Amino acid sequence: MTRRKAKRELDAGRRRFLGMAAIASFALAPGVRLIGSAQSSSPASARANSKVRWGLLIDTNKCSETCQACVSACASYNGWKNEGRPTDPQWIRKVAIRDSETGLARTLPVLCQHCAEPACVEVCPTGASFRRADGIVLVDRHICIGCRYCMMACPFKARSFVHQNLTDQRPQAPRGIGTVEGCTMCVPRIDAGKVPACVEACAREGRGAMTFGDLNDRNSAIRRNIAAYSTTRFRADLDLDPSVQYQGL
Amino acid sequence: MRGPNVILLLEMMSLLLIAVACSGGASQPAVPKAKGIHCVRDTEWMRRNHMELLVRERDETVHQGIRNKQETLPGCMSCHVSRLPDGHFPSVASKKFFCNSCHTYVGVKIDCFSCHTNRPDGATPLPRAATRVDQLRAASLQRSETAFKAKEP
Repeated sequence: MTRRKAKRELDAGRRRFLGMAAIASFALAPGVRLIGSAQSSSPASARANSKVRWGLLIDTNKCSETCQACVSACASYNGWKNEGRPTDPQWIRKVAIRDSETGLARTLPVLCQHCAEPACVEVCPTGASFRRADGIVLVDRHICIGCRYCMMACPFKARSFVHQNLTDQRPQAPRGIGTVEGCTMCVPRIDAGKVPACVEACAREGRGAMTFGDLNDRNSAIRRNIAAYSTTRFRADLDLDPSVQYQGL
Repeated sequence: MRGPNVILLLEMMSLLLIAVACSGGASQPAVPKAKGIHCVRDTEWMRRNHMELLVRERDETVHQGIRNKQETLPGCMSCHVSRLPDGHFPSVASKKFFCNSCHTYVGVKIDCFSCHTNRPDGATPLPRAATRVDQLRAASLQRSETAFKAKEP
């Protein structure tokens, strides 16, 4: 009998508690709605547009052998440093090529080719490697577990792994230990309506060898150049459909 | 009958824990003062829900490119992190770092700053520009503070 009474009291106590919880949840409701209203009224910029496909055309005829403007601009904007160690990051690097038969020599920057069918996205086990609606291939480092499958899958060696603890990262380019990183085409700049840092530096300090634009827009400079000149895509045999193309190879 | 007894015991234990915490078992967090006048939301709301904003920013910004200029992590830093008297910024591990002041107290470990910068960036403006009302409010706050200090012996 006493047990049953105790149970009844306990149930009542529980009911009171649940009742209070219900009241509390009602009281919280306006706060929860605050997110919704903020979302609709906040001056958020537009989301990545799937009608756009950002691309890069690099004219190797203009790319100077001694110039490193694109590399240093990328390093300073994104806050990485390559001191020549094999594990150092290289979001973009200058590569020298030479045709042994004809003797034709060129230097050109190699970076993430932002493929339409990216191998890195295909192999990523967590979904950290992804292609944004506007064609930019990125690593979500909140999800990246640092397995480096993408680094092995990428035929362009475009990605790097962060081996050391980092400090003093750039506010616009977070990067940290245990994750894979690579060229982001300077997404914060693109979202703000600017061109990537490398393209800007090439135009300012170099010979303007890089053209950035929308590959889907028939009137864009990049599209007109691609229509006018013969261009090369690296490893076209792999059918990855890169957004970075080279002219004069 | 065993279930309710266990729950009752747990409830009592949690009450005891709360009582210990409230009676000064752990030192209260000393939250560093912010530079700006207004946060992007009410302070009360931010105390409970700031993580919702951060997670939303995280997913929407990275995957969809939605950038709300008012609500960014560098924006939080520009307002909530200041130089210490010795001229240095507080380290991420330090209790004087804004986020840690509470997170150490509640025992929640955060891993934002192994990638994100924990310092204010000169180029990032304070999240919301002060309006005329804000200026008046700040002036009145200043007056009451000076009056309070003047009363102190």
